[in-house]
Amino acid sequence: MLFTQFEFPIYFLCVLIAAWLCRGRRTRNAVLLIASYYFYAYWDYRFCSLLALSTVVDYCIARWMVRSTGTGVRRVLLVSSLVVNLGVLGFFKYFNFFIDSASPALQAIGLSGETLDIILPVGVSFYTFQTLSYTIDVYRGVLKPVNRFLDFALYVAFFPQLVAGPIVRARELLPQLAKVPGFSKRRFYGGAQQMLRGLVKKVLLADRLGEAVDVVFAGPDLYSGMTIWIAVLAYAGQIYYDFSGYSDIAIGAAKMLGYRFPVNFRHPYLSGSMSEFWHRWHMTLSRWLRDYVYIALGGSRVSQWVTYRNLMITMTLGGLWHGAAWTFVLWGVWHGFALAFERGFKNAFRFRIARPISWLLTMAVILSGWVLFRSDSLTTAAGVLQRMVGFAEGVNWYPPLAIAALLCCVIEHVAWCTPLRRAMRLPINAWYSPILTTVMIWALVLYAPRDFRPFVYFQF
Amino acid sequence: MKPTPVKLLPELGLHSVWTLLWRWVLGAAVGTGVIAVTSPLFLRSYLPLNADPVRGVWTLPPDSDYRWRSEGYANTAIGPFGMPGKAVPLSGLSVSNGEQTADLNQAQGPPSQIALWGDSQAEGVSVDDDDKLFAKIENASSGDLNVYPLARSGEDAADWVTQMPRVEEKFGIDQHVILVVEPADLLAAVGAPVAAPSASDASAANAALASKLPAFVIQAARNLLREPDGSTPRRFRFTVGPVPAASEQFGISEQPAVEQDAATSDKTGDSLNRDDSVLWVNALAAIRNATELPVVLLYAPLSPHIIDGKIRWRDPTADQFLLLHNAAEKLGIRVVDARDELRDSVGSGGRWPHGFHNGHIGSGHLNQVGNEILAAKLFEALSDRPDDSALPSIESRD
Repeated sequence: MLFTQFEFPIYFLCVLIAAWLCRGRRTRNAVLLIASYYFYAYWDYRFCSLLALSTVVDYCIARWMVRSTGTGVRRVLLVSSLVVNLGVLGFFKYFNFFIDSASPALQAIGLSGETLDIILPVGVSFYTFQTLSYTIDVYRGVLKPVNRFLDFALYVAFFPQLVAGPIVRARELLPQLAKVPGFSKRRFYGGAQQMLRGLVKKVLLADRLGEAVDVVFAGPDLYSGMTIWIAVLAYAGQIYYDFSGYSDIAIGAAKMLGYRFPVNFRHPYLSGSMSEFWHRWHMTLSRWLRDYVYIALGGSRVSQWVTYRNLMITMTLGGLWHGAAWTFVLWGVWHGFALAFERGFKNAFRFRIARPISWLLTMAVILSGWVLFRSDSLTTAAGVLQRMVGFAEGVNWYPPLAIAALLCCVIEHVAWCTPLRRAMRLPINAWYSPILTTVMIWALVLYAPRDFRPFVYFQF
Repeated sequence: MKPTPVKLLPELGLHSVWTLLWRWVLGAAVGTGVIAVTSPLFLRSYLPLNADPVRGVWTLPPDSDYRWRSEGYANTAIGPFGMPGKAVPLSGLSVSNGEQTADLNQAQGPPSQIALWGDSQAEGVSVDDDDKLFAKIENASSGDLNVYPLARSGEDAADWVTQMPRVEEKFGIDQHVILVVEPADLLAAVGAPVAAPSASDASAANAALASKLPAFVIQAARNLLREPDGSTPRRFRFTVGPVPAASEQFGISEQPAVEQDAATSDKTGDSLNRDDSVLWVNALAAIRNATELPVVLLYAPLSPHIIDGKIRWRDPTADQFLLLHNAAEKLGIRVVDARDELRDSVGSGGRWPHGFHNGHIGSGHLNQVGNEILAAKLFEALSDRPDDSALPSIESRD
């Protein structure tokens, strides 16, 4: 089920009532677990087995891990968890990509190199990372394995974050699931407001921007450089509002149920450097990559060149995590290179670049990265960049609603830097909150695009 | 662990709850007011339909304004007989006792009176009144032609042939022009019904609704209660997946539109044989029999068109047009082919005849440029009018 489907409010209302009527932790968690599996089965019940497999494997491995004292055994158990989880992810998400990429080599040695008709299970990248974080934390000794299977199963399958994050770590959610949360009016209201904001971001802004993006990227050779600039900016807005909108809905839904999720976005387009960008963009993924890949590789406590290598590896894997295509890999490489370059520059030169200039440079890197991210091939990406830089001739198309949505993006980012930031949360006692809330609800009903658009991050 | 009891509104006293409630009710009213005031900027009109006694169809009410907000942003003033854009009083037409009448004998109008038929493309949806096809033709003729825009969205030849005789007498029509975008629309002329609008139509119910409720309320109700197509009642699914139409649900196009289009076209081409020409002859004969006046078919297919990032230069209905053209020749119906002008506009000047910035440039309805091109082409063709005596008589056409 998607948050933007008409069925979701009905489903969520039922879950909300049922959850708050449950007095006991066990009953509450059981209700939420059933609701979460139904949420996933709504898309395809067959893939619930994968979710269950991942849950059982990591629960059992963590339990065995704590019982065994030998480092070797613990390491074997960790590797087993990695093999199972990454095996599932690798098969469903990357099998065809690798076969396709290796096809010429395979054919040279007499193998067919045929791809399979595989459906990518929704959210597999997210829940795999969640369960892995649990096993690795238990292995590292920073987390005690959970005793109650029900709690762990709910941690893995909890519906608000199941299919597209935020990637909540076990040590953040499991302690919350160990008790029945107290009801707080303010938290409940705050959650509802955040859900509403998320819906506005997704439906009114991201989807409007997406309409323009899809048309131009379907045939970028047709359009003028100016139109392509608008489309690329629109894509930057689309992917931000799409994903941060989803995160807002997820965080808001959890909040209404009494749980706290980590923040996932903090106005990333205000960043003045690439490292700052990754502290503001998809924060739960970047800290996952930092904690479980970058630091595992040695982080920055190694020589300068090894640090650069670590950055490149981490970001390349981050790119690959987003999708099984060379454009995503290259996007990761591009960000890794930018981060490494930035680090090297800071080490070599001790002066600071003025914030407006560093912001412009950062935006240039990010936007060119989005071109790679959105294009269906490297050739398309190269063509788009060429037309952007050369302000090529072509069809001029200036979609007014997409441009208006882009302006909203700019205004929102600027307002966030001012005292208006607090007002943007629409406090319950503020006089303007009822008015703006009503306007947002009406706007959602009236101005949502009529064609259905899934969340961009669902494909990851 | 001891569960925490749930307390609703724990921090507030009764007075505070009432204050909060009152504030939210008031705020909701103000917020709704904001939407009511601003929604005309973004939402189309919903007007009550009017059963026109002369044309025998449901039309938008005369003297009203209609807002286009789907592709282009434009307002249309609805004129007498529901004619979009022709809001100024017509020569020879008078309004008495709330009913519109026309007196052909008193008409002191321009030399040639043309009835313009077609669907939404001829109606000029989403373009300003001055840019509509009828206005452009009148401008091109410098007043020598008076064009009655009688085209309406969703209509086909079945509607046109029933209205033709009704308007001829009233308006003093000299000739009929039909804008043909999709030739298949002409096939409906065979066996066209002659029923006048009935008060029991669904349109009547819609009319009552549209006259009582503001547009934003109707739009909200439609969005909530109808599927995106606007006609099917909304259905909820609470069964588990997978659902057969998952690809549709997730908006994944399994076949590029260009290929679909080509496939359709090929299929059309395959299925069209010599027997199919009879269909076209019958269709045009039905039109021919509906009027004794000259009929001109202005052919302007959806090409060039941008579909899925590619320019479709080829006419998707070229096969049908060939048969149509042959049938028209037999029946003495004049055909004006505007394909070259449409292509040249894009090819040489990059001016797209279809599409709007709010929709997609290069696809969709005719825009200002498209209407201008067609008006010029039609005027040029009408100026070079063939001798009427060369046309076969009605009897010989039968």
